[in-house]
Amino acid sequence: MRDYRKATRFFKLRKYLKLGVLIAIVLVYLLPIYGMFNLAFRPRAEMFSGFFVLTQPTLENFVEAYEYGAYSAIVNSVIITVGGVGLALTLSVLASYAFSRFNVKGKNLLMFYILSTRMMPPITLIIPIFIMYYTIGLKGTYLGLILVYGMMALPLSVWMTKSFIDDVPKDIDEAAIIDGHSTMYILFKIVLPMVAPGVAASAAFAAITIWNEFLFALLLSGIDTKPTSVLLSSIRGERGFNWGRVAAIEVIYIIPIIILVFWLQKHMLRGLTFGTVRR
Amino acid sequence: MKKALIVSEIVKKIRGKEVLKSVTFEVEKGQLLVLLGPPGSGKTTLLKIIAGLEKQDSGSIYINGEKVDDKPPYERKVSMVFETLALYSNMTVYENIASPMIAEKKPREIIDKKVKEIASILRIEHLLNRRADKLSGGERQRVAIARALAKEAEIYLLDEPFSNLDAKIRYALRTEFKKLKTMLGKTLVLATSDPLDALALGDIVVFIEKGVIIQKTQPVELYYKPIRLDISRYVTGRILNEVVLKKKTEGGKTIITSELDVVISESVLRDLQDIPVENIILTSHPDNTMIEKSIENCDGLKIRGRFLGYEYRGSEFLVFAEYKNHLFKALKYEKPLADFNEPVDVCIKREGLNFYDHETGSLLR
Repeated sequence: MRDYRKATRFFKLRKYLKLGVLIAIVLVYLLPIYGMFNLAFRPRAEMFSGFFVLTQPTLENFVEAYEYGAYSAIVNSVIITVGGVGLALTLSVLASYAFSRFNVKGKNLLMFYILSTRMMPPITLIIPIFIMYYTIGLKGTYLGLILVYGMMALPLSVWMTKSFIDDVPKDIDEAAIIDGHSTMYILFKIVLPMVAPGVAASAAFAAITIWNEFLFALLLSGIDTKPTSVLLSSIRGERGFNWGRVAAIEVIYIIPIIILVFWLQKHMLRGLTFGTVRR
Repeated sequence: MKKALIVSEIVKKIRGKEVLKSVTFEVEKGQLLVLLGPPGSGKTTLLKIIAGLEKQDSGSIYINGEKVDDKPPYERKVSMVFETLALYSNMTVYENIASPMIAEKKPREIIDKKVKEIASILRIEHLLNRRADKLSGGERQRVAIARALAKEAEIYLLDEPFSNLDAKIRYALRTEFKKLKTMLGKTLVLATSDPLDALALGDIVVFIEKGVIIQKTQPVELYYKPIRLDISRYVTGRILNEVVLKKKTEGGKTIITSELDVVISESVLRDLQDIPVENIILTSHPDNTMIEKSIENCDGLKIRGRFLGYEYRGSEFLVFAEYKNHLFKALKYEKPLADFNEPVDVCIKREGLNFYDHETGSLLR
């Protein structure tokens, strides 16, 4: 009986210890986000009076952010992200279906090549792309940014989408072939709806990559196409740095991604583990 | 009469390995041919070649007398039920059944009429608006058959249509399928690894093993007179009775020996005289075997064994007796009265005996 009580106490202690460690880890991640929200709603006069307590919340920083052009930067970010994700998904769905279903010569080599482009440091490509864009007039345009981001998100999208399509039995395609459907009908009406959650996860990863990108945006965007990441880096106040305004723009910048991640978290988790479970 | 399907000398290699070795057979119009064989014997590959989903290395396929080797699947007038069923899980049952007609661009009213008609035959009208991934095993099977029937085809191919189902649903579907087959009068080729499917449904059964057709015959003959011992074991399962005999000739006299102390009747001895092989395996089914406390006149093989018990099978009893670690089985319609381990006579009747060569396994008589 005493041993049983001792064991129970030990298991309870272990449980609380685990919980404590988890809470500590979560706090480490959440604290900066809390700080950001706190600063965003804080009046300028109280900017440095205590980190944790917010006595007089205000929206003045958001108004200033609007005046500074934060909202048009957000719109730019949305246009570039939606365009880039759309381009990456369209190409990756077509490519991954071909990789998954057809006996293309050198298929494995091609797949590896696609993945290897992801391994290349982006900075090595920035100068040739800049010169090329400048020459053909794509610098400072939405199309230019969409193209470069589409290509940047493509490798991971192809690999992820292919893994989801691989999970759909080939019999499904064959049944549709016997029914008399075309390849495009089979892909878009039958296979794609079946892997929709996977494609959504792949879209989410692509969106996060594009939304957060800074280097290409800095060099390839123009005054009218400047996304939020570039705007944030260029903020300067007349009387020093305006931390409240920066935090307000950051809040506006981060909210779409938080919503996206919460909305697609289940599929993203599956996307992160793709290829690890054979079904 | 034109053959509905001719499969002529089909050879197929996959990764250098020959999975079909000159496979040839014909199917009459309205006939149900069952391709029976263990898993990996090439059945699915053969069905896919007939359907046009895979290309053979040599040989030809003729459907209704027309060579279809160069035709794509949708032009071959074949329809198929896949082992995995291959239902479009993102669509409703209605959309699944309508799929071949949508591909043919048939008018909406005709599609609607036919879907309802087929659904009513297969008793799935109530499922038409349900998504295909929300169905039970038996329902999924019915929908897959319905979708195959929705296509107007000359040949209907069915790959293991009753696999992955529990015994009860399997039995029910088999019975329904038989009714459906008679009702529709279509030409069907069904591939299965389950001998019960083959025996219950087939007009003709083709036994295929390692890509070679071993026997093409009627179900009754496949059950009672398979041309090879391994087929007999495969088709009958664990209930086949087997006795090994050795035949020697000494001084012009034939001597038969067995490790089982078998009493062999005169008639069986005469049968054995004609057989030019030394080591023989005699087999018989439980319906040609008796296990009783005492059997006076046994025209066949008689062994004195011990009663082990019985399995009640609803309308009959499968009775077990043992002698020297050999298990003998007999079918009986009354409850056996012997006690466990009590001595009993086993009589394997001559009329059901098959004689196989012990070395090659081929049928001798």
